[in-house]
Amino acid sequence: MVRDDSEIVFQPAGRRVAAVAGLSILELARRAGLELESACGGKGLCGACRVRVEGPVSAPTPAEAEHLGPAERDAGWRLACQATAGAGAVVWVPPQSRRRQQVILTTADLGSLTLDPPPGALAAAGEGPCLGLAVDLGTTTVVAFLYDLRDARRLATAADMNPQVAHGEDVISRISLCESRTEGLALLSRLARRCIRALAHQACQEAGAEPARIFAATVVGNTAMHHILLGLPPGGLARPPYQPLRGEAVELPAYELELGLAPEAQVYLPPVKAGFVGADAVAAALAGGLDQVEEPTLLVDLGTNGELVLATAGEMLCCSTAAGPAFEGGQIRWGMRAAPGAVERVALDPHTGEPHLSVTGEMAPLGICGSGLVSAAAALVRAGGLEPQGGFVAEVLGDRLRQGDQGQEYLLAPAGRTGTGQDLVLTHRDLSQLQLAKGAIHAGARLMLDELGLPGVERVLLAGAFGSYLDPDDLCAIGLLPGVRPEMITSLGNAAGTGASMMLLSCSQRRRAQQMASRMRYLELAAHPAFADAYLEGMLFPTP
Amino acid sequence: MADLEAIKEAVSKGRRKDIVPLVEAALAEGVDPHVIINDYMIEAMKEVGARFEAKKIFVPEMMIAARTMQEGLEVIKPHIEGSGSSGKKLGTVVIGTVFGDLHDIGKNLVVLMLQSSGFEVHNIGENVPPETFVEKARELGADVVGMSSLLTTGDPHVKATVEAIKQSDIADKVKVICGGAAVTEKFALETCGADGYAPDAAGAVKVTKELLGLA
Repeated sequence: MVRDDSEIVFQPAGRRVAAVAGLSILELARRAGLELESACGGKGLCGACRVRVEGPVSAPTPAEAEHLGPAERDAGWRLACQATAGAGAVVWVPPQSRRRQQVILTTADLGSLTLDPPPGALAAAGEGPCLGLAVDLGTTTVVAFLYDLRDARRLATAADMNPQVAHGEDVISRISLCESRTEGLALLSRLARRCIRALAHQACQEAGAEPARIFAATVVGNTAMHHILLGLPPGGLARPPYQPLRGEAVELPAYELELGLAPEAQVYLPPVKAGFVGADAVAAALAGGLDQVEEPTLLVDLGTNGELVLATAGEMLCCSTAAGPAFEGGQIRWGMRAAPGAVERVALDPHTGEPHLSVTGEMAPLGICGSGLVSAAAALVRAGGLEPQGGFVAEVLGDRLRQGDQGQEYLLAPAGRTGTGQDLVLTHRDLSQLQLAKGAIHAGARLMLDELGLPGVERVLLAGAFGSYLDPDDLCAIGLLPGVRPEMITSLGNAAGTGASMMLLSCSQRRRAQQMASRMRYLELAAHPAFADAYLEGMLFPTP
Repeated sequence: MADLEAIKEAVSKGRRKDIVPLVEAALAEGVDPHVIINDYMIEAMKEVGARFEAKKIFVPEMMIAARTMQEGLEVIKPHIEGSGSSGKKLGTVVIGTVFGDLHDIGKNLVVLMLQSSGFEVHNIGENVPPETFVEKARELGADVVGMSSLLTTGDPHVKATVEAIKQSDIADKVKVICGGAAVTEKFALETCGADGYAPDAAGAVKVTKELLGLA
């Protein structure tokens, strides 16, 4: 191979790119056609973009010192978003830093509903096929369901990563982009529209249909996704009083969003409740039938931004709580999203204490995803291996516990048995990230129960992909929700997608969702006087 | 005999259930409240800060410990009011979360850590406009102004706040420290022109002491 000294080489992919002074390795990787993980959008905060650099490279930044231990730095490990490399450098990208195809959940079980699609769609379709598209526009993934509007048959499902992810993984980084660059909003809006258009195309191909035969669509998403899709500046969502610019249900011609559907097609977006409680929460509440519950029922969507809805026979309360990225594997030493190679379950052998790992895709583990993190902590709680305030109990965990660069760590799998060639560990700091996440969810649930004067809930519905991977026993073992037992928990799968489908097929479901949204009361947690105490209480691990 | 070591341990381990009865028992036996605070609780928090810095504990454990101390202080408070201060105030700190940001937990932890290290701390709340930082710092005779920013959209407000202080009449009297998840050292010191940067609550105590020549 001829070596060109004006270039930088990315290994093991062997991609080459011209060296450009001042550009981060992350940016250069993008130019070379490689996508690296960067949960924080390249701010040096998440530590997900670790690479090993040989050759000319910039001096380490304080952000790198924060994420990389001395041993790692000596070995040439750097954060791609912080470091710049000079001509002739070789950048090794480990598997866990490469962006992977996520496992996307697509089940949408509609239960029973009256079929009454928008009359305009049926009229416009005439004699030919009359199709509809229900879209769950998530921050990370986008799922589209193609239906026959005449018989409610689901014809196809298509899913993809939200292409906006390249511009920051969480909602706040996307809002920041819209705020800081004049063309930011237009760019993100265009990406969302294109993605929906591509998924409509893909679903139609699978079903042997034409996108021009789609006469109705529904789109649900969190408030930021909703605003960005509609081209509404989302800046106000991240600033007090955190209010949406448009909260009511919206119906507009699909051509205005350039979705490539039938010219007569209308797109329906259900109401959004608050800056951080979106149409997705309303759709999930619809899918969970929260307007018909008799016993206190809690709907939980566990994400970076946890959305909770508590319903009783008479009332419905919602809140959002900043759980942080731990449930999605962010800010975790070996964290990764739920993708092949992710540890999703951990059990300790009752006799030897050896951890047994279940890995997505039956391969050697590359990292640990949110459900794996919860499961690992649960296994340690059951064994009496965790202090309630956080941290490991040395007497219980023995020689699997050791001192690492970032404090104590528990060895899940030695280097020889992982897919990275390095030890897979759960660190004390990882536990602390899980505590912050669970504390936030716990506090949201606690304060909503207090607000309604309830001693506890009877049922818990888990929404979202993450919820389906979680074991109810694990969830209870770490004390995520106050007073909840495993048998109370049901997973709804992609509840937002289900709700979107129900509203696509039935105008009466649209009205029902609108009624629920107007009935829902929003509980602001940030300013709640009891929040700090409930938050700290929720951080404790139960004792076995 | 009051178990003062147990008070220290309850604070440093964050045993919230134990702290109130232990402190009540000590007060009932006539132990000087200042001794409980200065020799046991503040000592415990010093230990907590050191353990945090050494990565032996992390944010949740530190928050729980600080909260435990606060609960103990609530019990002690009625016993020391009117009896004068405990005698050693290291300096006055005015602290708030910048405009547009309602986050309070991290900032309140910094307040607790500074208080438990012997500083007089005035918490001026969240969503604080730059001019309010200046007014409060002037009014309260601050030696240090601390600001917290958790939202990445808060960067312009951090900069505006530092500049407002640096361009005001109290610029020579106060040192400015920035912290919070959205702030980096480079941004605080180079872009905004702050005097100090604190990555966390233990760091806030350290940099405050350094800037006041107490370290």
